[in-house]
Formats: sequence, C-alpha cells, structure tokens
Amino acid sequence: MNARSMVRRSVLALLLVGVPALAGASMLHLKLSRSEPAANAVLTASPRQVKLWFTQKPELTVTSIKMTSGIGATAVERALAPLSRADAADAPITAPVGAPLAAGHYEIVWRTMARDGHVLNGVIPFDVRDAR
Amino acid sequence: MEWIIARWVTFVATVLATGACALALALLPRAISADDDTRRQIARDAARIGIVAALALIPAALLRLADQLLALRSDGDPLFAGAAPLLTSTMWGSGFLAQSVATLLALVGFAHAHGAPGVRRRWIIPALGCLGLCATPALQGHAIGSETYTSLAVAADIAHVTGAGLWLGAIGVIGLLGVAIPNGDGIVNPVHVSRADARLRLLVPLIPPVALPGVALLLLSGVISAVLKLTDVGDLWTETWGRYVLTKMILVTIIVALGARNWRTLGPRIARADGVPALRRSLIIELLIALLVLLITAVLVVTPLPGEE
Repeated sequence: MNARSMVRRSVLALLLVGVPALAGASMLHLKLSRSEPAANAVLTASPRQVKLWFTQKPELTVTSIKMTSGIGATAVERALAPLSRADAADAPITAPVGAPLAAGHYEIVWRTMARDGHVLNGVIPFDVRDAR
Repeated sequence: MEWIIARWVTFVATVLATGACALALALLPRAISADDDTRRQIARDAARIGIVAALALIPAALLRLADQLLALRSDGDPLFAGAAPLLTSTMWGSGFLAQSVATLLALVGFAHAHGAPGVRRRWIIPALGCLGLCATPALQGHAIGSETYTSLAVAADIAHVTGAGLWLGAIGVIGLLGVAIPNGDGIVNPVHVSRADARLRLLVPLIPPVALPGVALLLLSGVISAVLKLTDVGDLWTETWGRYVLTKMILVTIIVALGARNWRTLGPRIARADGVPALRRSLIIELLIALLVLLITAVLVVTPLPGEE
C-alpha cells in the first residue's frame, strides 16, 4: 500500500468512525431552563432576587430583566440592576428585586442573547399573596 | 427577512471575493498559454469584482448590526443605545468587528492589487482579508453558540466557507469574467464577446485543481457540521432545518454533476464554435443554483435546530 492510498483509507476510516461518533452532540440554541420565581408561582413572601437559569452561558452585558407590576394602563415597569452571573457553567443570572413587593400580580420581562447572536426574550408571571 | 438578505449578500460577497483571490493566486499563474497582457487584464477585472464584493459587505454588515440592535432594544430606547456593549463585550460583537476589519483589509487589498494586477504579492493582502471573511461567519452562527465540540464546529464552519469560496467563488468570478455585458442600448460589442469567449477557453480548463480541493473541503466540513447539529438522521426530512440541509445537499450535488459534465463533456469541445456558448449556459445554471444554495445557507442560520421546533 503506497502513501497516497494510506492517506485515502485513513480519511475514509475517519469519516466512517469519527463522524458518526459526533452524532448526538447536538447543538441547541440558548433557552431558559428555569427561573425563581417560577412561571405562575404564587409566593407568600416577596422574593429578594430574580434568578434565571439558561441552557447555555448567555451574554450578560446585553441582558435586561425588568419587573412589571399591575395590569394594563396602571402597569409600572422598572429595570432590575445590577445583573450578575457566577463563572460556573450552570450559574443563573441574578437580579436584585430591591424594595419588598406588595401583594399583587407581577411579571418578569427578560431579554438576553446567546453567543451566536440569537436574541430571545420571555415573560414570567407570578403573584405575591399576603406579603409581609 | 432583512437579516436573511443581509446574510445572503454577505455569503455571496465573501465567496466571490475569495474566488477572485483564488483566481489570481492559483489559476492565472497556470494560464501559461496566455500572454502577460491578457493575464494582467483578467487579474485587474478579478480585482474589480473583489472591490465590488467588499463594498457590498458594508451595507450588509450595517443592516445586520441594525437588526441585532433592534432585536435587543427596549421600547423607547434610541437604536444605538446598546451598540457599545454589543460590539465590545459579546462574541457576536467580536465577530462583527473582526469581519469589519477583514472587509477593510480586503477592500484596500483589492484596490492595491487593481493598481498592479500582475504582481502576485499585491494579492496577499486581499487574500488575508478574505481568509478573515471566511472565518468570521463561524463567530456569529450556530457553531460558536455550541457548548460541545465548539472548536470542531467553528473549524468546520471556517472550512465550509473557505471551500465554497475556492470552488463556487472561483467559478463565479470566471462566470462574470466570461460574460459580455450589453451597452445601454442592449447591444453587445462583438469585441467583448470574443474576449469573454477567449477567457472562458483559457480559464475553465484550469478550474479542477482549485475546485476539487474546494469541493472536498466543503463536503467534509458540511457533513461534520450537519452531524453535529442532527439528533437523528430522520431530522433531515422531519425537521425544517433538516429539510433545508437536504435541499442544499441535493442542489450541491447538481452543481457537482454540472461541473463534472463541463469538465468531461463540454471542456473538450471548448475549442469548437458551439463549445463556448454551451459551457457558458452550463456555468450560468451552476451559478444560479449556487446563489440558491447560499440563500438556503443564510436561512439555515436563523432556522431552529433539530429538537427546537
């Protein structure tokens, strides 16, 4: 077997063995995996911070988290800051809520961007009952 | 939609600019049957195509930036409020800035090469710019977003665009050089027709040594990229992303088949009077299909991956 033939066979073997081995290493876009407060949660005490967990590391500097209270024309929106995220792969983005929330309906309105530029956003509604 | 068009223009321009460099650095030096003046004229026109391609990248980049800023903007905020953090502290921004530098390098390089098109070393700067242009889409697509096999995915994306540039780009530039453009009255100058025919006769037989490595690079990297994103072979016909990939594979196979036909059947007839028009028709069909392939590639970037629908 000459050198050229060996190279050809090696490339073929790499394709036959190596490429299928990669199957299942599926790449998915960034997604919200869970949050605190969770969607539609009913809390008996005001949360002190909002935590958002994503399936991948999001771009923190272009992430925004806002809290709206009230419904319709009376809704009030405020940005939560500063946002932070620990280095660990599964660390959440954390935002302080600030002053304790009164009883009522709230929504966390968030927007972030994946490393590939994919922008995603969402709304997490929750209620606070009998807050002290 | 505008994001897809901007991506498409970016891919077409990147591939054409790379093809112009491939033609000047790899094809023309082997055109030993042509005199120096003919080679210089072809290189000058290739540099002109490179300049137009690099210029087309500028509005496409601005459109992509505006679209990204719009997607990140909150109601009532000025459009450019988020530009600084987007460009300076995100991977997308790094890719965008790298692409801007590569565009500038290619533009200046092509203009420099246009001044003395026969001097090979003048093509090194645009070639470096084009290498940068081939590398940067990987920093703004699915590959860099992956948290597994990221390096492999990025390398495959870079190889994919480079392969497309060497193969489809070179064919695209030869196709443009081999077309006689009518004047304002719709009349084609016979001298231009004869020059275009002569260029096709000279350049088409030289394509295989550049096109074949380009095709190999494109196919190998395409297979790796697809396998990294598929969760199952069935995704190719059950998922939207898979159907686009399958369509792209079929279209690429048609281009390869047309190329093989050009090489084996039409190539030997190129010296005959009816040989060149048949070859030109085939090249135009190849290029139209290639434009469609690049459009599908632009759509793929914004299509949910398998398992996300």
